[in-house]
Parts: sequence; C-alpha cells; structure tokens
Amino acid sequence: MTTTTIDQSTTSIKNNNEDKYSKNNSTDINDVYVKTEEDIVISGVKYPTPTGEGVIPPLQFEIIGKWGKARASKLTLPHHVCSTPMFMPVGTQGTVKGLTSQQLVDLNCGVVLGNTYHLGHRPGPEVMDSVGGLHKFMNYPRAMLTDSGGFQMVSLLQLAEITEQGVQFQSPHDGSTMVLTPELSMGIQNSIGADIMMALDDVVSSTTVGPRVEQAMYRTLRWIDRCIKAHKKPETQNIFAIVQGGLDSRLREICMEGLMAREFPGYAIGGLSGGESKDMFWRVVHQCTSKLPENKPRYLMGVGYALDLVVCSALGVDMFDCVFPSRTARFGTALVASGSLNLKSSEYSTDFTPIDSECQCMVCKNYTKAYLHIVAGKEAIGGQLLTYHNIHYQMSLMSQIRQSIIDQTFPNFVKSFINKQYPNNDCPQWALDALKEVNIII
Amino acid sequence: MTSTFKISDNKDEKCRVGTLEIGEKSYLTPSFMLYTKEGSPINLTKDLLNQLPHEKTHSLQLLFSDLFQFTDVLEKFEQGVHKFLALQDHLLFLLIRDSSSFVEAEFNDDSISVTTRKGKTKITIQDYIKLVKVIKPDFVTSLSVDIAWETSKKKATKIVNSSSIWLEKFLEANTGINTFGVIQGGKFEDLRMKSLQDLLKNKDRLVGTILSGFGTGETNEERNQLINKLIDQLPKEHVKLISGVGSPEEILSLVELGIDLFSTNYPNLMTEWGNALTFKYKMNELKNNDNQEENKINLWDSKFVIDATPIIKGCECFTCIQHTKAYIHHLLNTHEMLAEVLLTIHNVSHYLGFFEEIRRVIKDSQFSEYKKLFLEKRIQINNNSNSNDN
Repeated sequence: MTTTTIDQSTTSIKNNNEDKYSKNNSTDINDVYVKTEEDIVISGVKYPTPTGEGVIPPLQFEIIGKWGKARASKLTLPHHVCSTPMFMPVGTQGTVKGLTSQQLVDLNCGVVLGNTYHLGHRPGPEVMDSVGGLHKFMNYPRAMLTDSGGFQMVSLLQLAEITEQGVQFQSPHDGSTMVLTPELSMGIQNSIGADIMMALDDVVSSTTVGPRVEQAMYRTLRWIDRCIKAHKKPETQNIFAIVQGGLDSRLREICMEGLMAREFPGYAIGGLSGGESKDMFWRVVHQCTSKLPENKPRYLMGVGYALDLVVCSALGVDMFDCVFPSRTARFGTALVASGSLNLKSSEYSTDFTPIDSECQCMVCKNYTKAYLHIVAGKEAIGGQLLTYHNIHYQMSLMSQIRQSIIDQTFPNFVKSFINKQYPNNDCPQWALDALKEVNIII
Repeated sequence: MTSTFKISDNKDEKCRVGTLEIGEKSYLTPSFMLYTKEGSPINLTKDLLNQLPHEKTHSLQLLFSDLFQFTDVLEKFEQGVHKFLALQDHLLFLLIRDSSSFVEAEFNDDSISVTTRKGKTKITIQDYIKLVKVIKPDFVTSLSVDIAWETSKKKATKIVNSSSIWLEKFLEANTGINTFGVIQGGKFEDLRMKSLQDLLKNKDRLVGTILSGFGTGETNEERNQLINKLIDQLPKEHVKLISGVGSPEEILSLVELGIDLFSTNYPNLMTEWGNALTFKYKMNELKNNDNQEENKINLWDSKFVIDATPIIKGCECFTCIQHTKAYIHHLLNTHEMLAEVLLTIHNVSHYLGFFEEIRRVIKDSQFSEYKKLFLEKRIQINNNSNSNDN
C-alpha cells in the first residue's frame, strides 16, 4: 500500500517539527504561523511558455478596449478565439446539464468548464486518452477549461485530509485511500486536454482564519512548481495559477508575487465566493486585479451572479464561471434583467409574455411564461428550456458589458443595469462601494 | 380546419400510403405520433424537434388528462394550442388513451374518470365538448375509455353503448374539429361489430376511426384477427389509428391490415431503458444476409466505454452525426439528462426512418416481401442473441 509510506513520512515530519510548527495548521485566529524552511516565495521556476521562431503559444491575450480597470479583450486559445469579459458555463461531467454541445455553440458559448474530479473518476483518464480528450468526447469544438479537482475533494469529501503530498481522501466508491497530488491532477488534466488547466492549490474556505491560511498559501506556491514540472503539453494546454491567501491582503500579496515571478499564461483568483462578506470579497478582487499583470487574463472562480459579473468586470476580471444559472434553471427559475423569476409561482400561470420580451433566444421567441409555468421544475423539458434561456442570459449580459467597454459607454451600461435590477434604489452597498472605487458613481 | 385524406390505390393489398392534409400542413402515413408530456414531445425542445430527419411535419399525441389541467389557461390565451406549445408546424391529436401505459379507467353512463396530477375528475360529454372546443387540436377522439381485453361482457357492453351515445352527442355539438370515432368492445366480436355499426351511422362526419382497447392483454393473433374483420367494414377513406401497440413487428402486421397511424411510446420506452434502436429497416440492407447486427443495443453496457463510433454509421440523426456511443454510455453512467435527450433524438429518428421505408415499399408494391424479410431477419437476430446469452 503506497498510502502507508505517505502516512509514515508525514508522521515523521510532524514529529521532528512538533514544537515549533505544531500550530501551523491551526484555524484559531490567535495562533501565529511560523514560517518553515520550505516556505519559499520565489523558487526560480518559470512556466515553460513555448517560444521560438514561428511558435504560437497556446494563449494570446489582446486588449481591444478599456474603461478604467475594465477591459474587453480577445483571448485566443487553441480551440477558440474568445471575447472577454466572458462567462463560462459549467459542464461538470462533460455536459452542461440538459444541453447538447451544438446548443452551446448556438448560444455562442466560448469556454465550457469540465470538472477534473468528476471526469477523473468517470469516465477516467484512460478513457479520455483513448477517445482523444474531452473536446472529442463531448464533441464541443470550442475552448474548454478544467479545474484541478482539489476544490471538489475538499467540498464533497468529509474525509479529505491535506498533506504535503496532496489531497488525501477515501474513495467514496471502494473506500480505498487515494491521494490527489499536483502530478496526478496535471496528468488527468493533460488527458482531458482542455485549453486551460487549473493548478492544484491548497484550498481553504474563505471563512477560515488562523495560521492555516498562510500554510495553504505557501503550500500552493510549492505545489505550483510541481504542477509546472508535471505538465506534459505546454504547447497545446495552458496552466492558470490560482491566487490564494484568504481574506488577508498581506498573504494575497505574497502569493501574487510568487505566482507572477513564474510567468503564467493566466491567473485565477481563488478562495472566494465561499461565504465571506461581499465587502471583503470585492476588496480582495480589487487588490488582485490591481496587481496581476495587465497583459494576462484574470479568472475569478465560482462567481456568476449578474451583479457580481458587472462589478467584477468593472474591477478588471476577464473570466467567470458558476453553476448557478443552470442549477437554478432546473429548479424553475429564469434570469432576467430585473433579477430572476420563479416560474413555478402561480402568478405566471396565465402570463402569456415570454420570459423576457427583448430576449432573442429560442425559448423566448417560442414559449410563454404560462407554458413554462406548467413544466418548470417538473418535466425534463422545463429544465432544458430554462437552462437554455439562462445560459443565453449570461452570454448576452457579458456581450453587453464587453460592447459597452469598447464603446466607452461602460458606466452608462452599469447604471442602467443597476436601475433595472434595483428599481427601488436598493442596490447593495458593497457594489456601490466597489464601483465608486473605479469611478463609477451610481 | 377541415382535413383531407388521400390514399394510394393498392389493388391487392390492404396496406396503403396516405396523405393527410390540413391547411398548409401535409403529412404522410403510415406513421407514428410522437409521445408527449404536458404537451411537449419528451426531451425535444423546439430546435431539436425541428431538426429531426425523415419528416418535417410531425404528428403528436396530446393526452387529454395533461391538457385538461391547463384548458383554463388555453381559454385565456386565445391563440390556440399549437402556438401555446410552440408546435405550429405539427399535427396535434387529442387522445384519451395514454399509449405509455394501460390502466382501465372508470366510467359510468354519463361520464369518464380522468386521472390528473391533482387527482381524479369526472368528465361528462358536455364537459368534454366544452374542453375540446377550447383546446382546438387538429384531430380529436370522441369520448370513450379503453377497457382491458379480458373485461366482462357486461362492462364491454356498457362502454360500447356509452361511446355510441357520446359520439352522437359530440357530433351534434359541431365542434368543427376533425373527429375520430372509436370502436370498443374488448374481445367480444359481436360487441365490436355493434360498435362498428353505430360508428358507421356517422361515418361521413368522421375523418377516421380509432381501433380502441388494444395493447391491453390480447395476443398478436387475437388482435390481428379482430382488426382484420373490422377494417374490412370501415370506409377506405377513414384514417385508421391504433393506440398502445407499436413494436416493429406489431407495426408491420398492422400496416399490412391497413392501419395508418400509431400512437405509441415505443421509442421513448427504449430510451428509458438506455436502449438505442439499431435494427435494419432499409429493404436493400434486409436483402443483404451476412450482417449479424443487433436489433437494439443497451448503452449502459460497459463494452461501449471507449467506443468512439456513432450508434449507427450513416444515420442522419443529430445524435449519430454529432456523438459517440462512448459519450452516451458516460452520460447514462453519470445520470446526466443529456443521455435521454440524445437517445430520444436517435430512437425517434430511427422510427421515423422505419416508417419512411414502410411508405416507400408500399408505393413500390414490395410490402409483403419487405415484411417477410424484416421479420425473418429479426427472428434470426433474436435467436442468435438468445443462444449467445446461453
């Protein structure tokens, strides 16, 4: 059993350092982190961006419009030229629930997400290799992104334990102990073959405090070098590094310094959207987008509510993902300019207007709220139709953000967006504060 | 809107090709009607439905018990059931029998019992007329309920008599909707003949006849024998519809006897089980004896885990053009909704193609040969797979 050796080695490390470092994984705010010898910010390792004559790197990023910190860009990936800011629908197990790959193209999606944890388990990397990767497997011709798998391990598995080796967990299927290492994560993601792979990071919940946050940040920096080393396809796949550090601006700063020294093709802001206050949330995003390199894409993980998309685009984020639009669709909720409609509610039973009379999607052109009320949350077709509309809503919102940045009308767009969402002038204060910070006064 | 039905003239055979026209829509028979839930074809959003190969205009079986639940909404909508369901391009048949399952419904002299999401409701002939006028489908069944093959003669007599009275009342009401009469009577030939005679009194006011109460426990022989006798006495120009029967073998036997339309959920049932239909239905493929393919494959089978080929090479459906067996196997395995969507597209398309070929061979006067070859092949494959299992 390989796991036995791992257990012994970690135990021996713990024993040797028992006194000095014993509280480094404490989540008590009163404990203090003691830096270890391995806690190195700049290791000298650099991301192996392919160079040379005639070599086109697998990611090119060109800003085509700016308003304040907000940018509209052309992001060229091996499988697709994407326009940012963009929303990336989540196709956890190789499908955005209920939609065909063709429908995703019809909806003009750019990047679609796949989950390494789920795909690594089913169908598994061997199948991915033999069918030629996820693009071919689900026949999605455009760009894809896979997460590292670490987040799912920690969030789905109560028995997960993080060691220096990786995320150690008990397989929910046969009970055996397994370790997701940076090497294994890269291996699976190389098999999946997405345009963008996420580095395995030591994820802590955004509400975690104490030395554990700093420990995770330094470990993320160590793991990133192992990710780089294990990456087998730098000519066709990109690694994005993930900025960690919780809500502590000092740690975020150190983490960014370390990651940027390694010169990644793109950066993600991780560890947010996990229950922290919105006030803390936007400040961390603002800090990160102020420091991360201007000429590289920035991806804010797990964020996808309309207001968050608008505010964080204003703060200079380029990429977003979230399961919310498709999940809420299956529960019968449609997204609209004024917020959302619970179509299961009887108030729509004789409403013969479309979900959104200005929406150009297949659903709004053909179906009334009254009919959707009959099938929403009940029949498969209800989930299919509302998912279709909600993804269209997200795509349309991002395209309006993008166009208004290019047209230099972004502040007007933000204002009209907020007026529609909050007609009673009750826009949350955090959003107003964030926008004010980038000179958009509502 | 009044419909017309033109049929091909087949001198020697009862099977025929028909063209059912209503307004701008034209529809060829024999064919099958897509199964729906709450008025929508299962898993097929408008874009997916309108991409199906083999026919542009589809017929759909709307269940009265589904539509009943939102007739008040339709009444307020005022723009018709087609628009409400986004099914403007298709033919809508309002039927009482649910082809996916048979449960004997209760009835008495003046009403039938309808089971809805909210429980059971009694529907009288007056209610029915009112509701049909609101729903305004292209075609409607007259009021009746199917009884089991083995039902008592007393009960069978009652439904025959009630159905006849209800038909008179329904036609008196002049709904303006193309109406199908029903022939009830269970297994009793004398009752079936009485039901038929009652229907014939109004034959000119009906566009077709539903051969009712089948798929309720009878054998194929019993069914075919009875239908053969009934069809002989029905007007040629009537559209003949049957509900609750629809396997490929059953279809060929019944088309041979002159059935035009099938209300069945067979393709959807295959989908529910994770099956993809793969039986050969092209005449030239049936003549070619050396291929030992299966009639259907079950995509749950782990042998498809890395199978990067489509369900059927050369199939014109979206699923086969775009996706592999490995992908569908994975989607089933992970309980993803898209598995059913892709299988529905294939299975429905496969059945549409099967019917297209049936129409072609009837036109070419090759139906008897086709049926013989088809059934031989099917039995041969079934025997092979049985012996392989052992």
